Amino acid sequence: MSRIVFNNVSLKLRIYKDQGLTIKEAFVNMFKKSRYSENKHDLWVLKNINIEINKGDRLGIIGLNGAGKSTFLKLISKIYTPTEGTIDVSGKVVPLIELGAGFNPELTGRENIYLNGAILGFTKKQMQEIESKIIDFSELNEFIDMPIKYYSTGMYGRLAFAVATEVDADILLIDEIFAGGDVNFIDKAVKRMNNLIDNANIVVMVSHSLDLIKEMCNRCIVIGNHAIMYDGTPDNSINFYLNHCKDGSI
Amino acid sequence: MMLYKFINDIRTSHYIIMNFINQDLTIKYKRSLLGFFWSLLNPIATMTITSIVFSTIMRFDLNEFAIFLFAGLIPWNFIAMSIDTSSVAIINNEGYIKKIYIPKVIFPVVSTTSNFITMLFSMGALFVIMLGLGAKISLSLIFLPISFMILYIFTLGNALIISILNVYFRDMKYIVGIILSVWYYYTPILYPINLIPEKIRYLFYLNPVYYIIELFRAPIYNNVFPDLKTITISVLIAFSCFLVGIFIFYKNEQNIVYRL
Repeated sequence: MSRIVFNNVSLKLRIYKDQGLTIKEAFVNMFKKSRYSENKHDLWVLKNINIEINKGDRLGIIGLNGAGKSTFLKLISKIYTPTEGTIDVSGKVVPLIELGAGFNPELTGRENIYLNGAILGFTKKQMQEIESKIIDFSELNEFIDMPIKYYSTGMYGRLAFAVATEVDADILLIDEIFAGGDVNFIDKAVKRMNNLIDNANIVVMVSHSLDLIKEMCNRCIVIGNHAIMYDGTPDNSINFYLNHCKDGSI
Repeated sequence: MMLYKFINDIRTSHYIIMNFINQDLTIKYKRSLLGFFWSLLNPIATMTITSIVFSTIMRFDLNEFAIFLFAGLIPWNFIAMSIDTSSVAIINNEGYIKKIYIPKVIFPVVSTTSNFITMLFSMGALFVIMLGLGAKISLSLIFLPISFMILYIFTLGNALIISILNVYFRDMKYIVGIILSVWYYYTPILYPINLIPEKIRYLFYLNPVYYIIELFRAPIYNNVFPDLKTITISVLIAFSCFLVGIFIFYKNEQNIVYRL
């Protein structure tokens, strides 16, 4: 049973002008009434979001830059915790948000495959079964025991893509996915992506490519003004989005 | 409640913890000829130098002083190293925390545990040397596993606190270095506590690490079981540190992603 339910979810991000407070500042602030006040300001990225995403949904998310699309994915994948409200997620979430995020440049390609698997919650045994498939797909057979800091950008991208997409997902989160590599690899990657999307119970994808949304999704939401402004078929959502972009009310 | 969350986090991510520890222990020595042996050679070298210098200055018997020092210095090094590496544990793993979901508590746990493993190895290696210098194998040594457990819990508590603090106050990392070197001399590691004038000795009894170190010194150096008072105090200290650490960590866990 795969399902995602947002109940009145709001997320407030705290923006700090500097990253960490120094002891001196904290000490001074202790005596000022306005603690930290000049240092931070609050930003409501999303407010009162209610949505239910069910099995079979291929949900596209569109909106302007900074509207909160990626934040929406990060909420589902538990990187961010909602400030208010709750999110219920049932099913195994595989985030394709940032490829190669779990890679350690000092480790070899093979070691990184296992590390990434561990981060996604797979055991060593499960990874052993798919290890050779990942290596074959990434075409890195001769380089797999070399630290990945010596990889070219393309090789790095290929490995990251191969690892991230080899696993089965109930819920697939995609943020502007693209595959690096030469022409042959891109062909292969697109095929694999489509396959992965077909096999997932739920797909949530963020993209600025409206054509891609039309092609892949059966439902689409428009995020703007901290809320879900429209929820409907991709065609209707895209029309809504384009119209509102024109008159600037998004 | 928070303790339950801690146990649950560790259980669900034990596989990734093992992976990270393995990385910690191997990457450090990648491309160095002796590899992990440096973990053993380093304390042996420091121990030798300190023993020779201090036994000369303070006119102690060299062998005896070496054993005395060994019992205190190895656990202290573990505490100091763990606190030092934990202070940057979360910041250095910013890449993971911001991009994928991982229980954040594993980072201080990983740095403490890999230091713990290193300590066990260097303790083992040094103990062989100590036997050569005249350390006795006595029944009291069977207390050591308990000493290690208390030491680990105490250190983990501190590591949890410091890892969070450093996210909010980036100066912490540097302050920690200074605090640790003051603390090192404040703790009776290089000197026996009865060298301190009785009038101010109570100040040294306020140091929690004194009791933790005593858990090792009694069985290794004095060949006796630690007395009940020492055990009680150190257990209380260790568990309160641990619980405070868990509390502070989970209180802030969800906010640190915004402060990285």
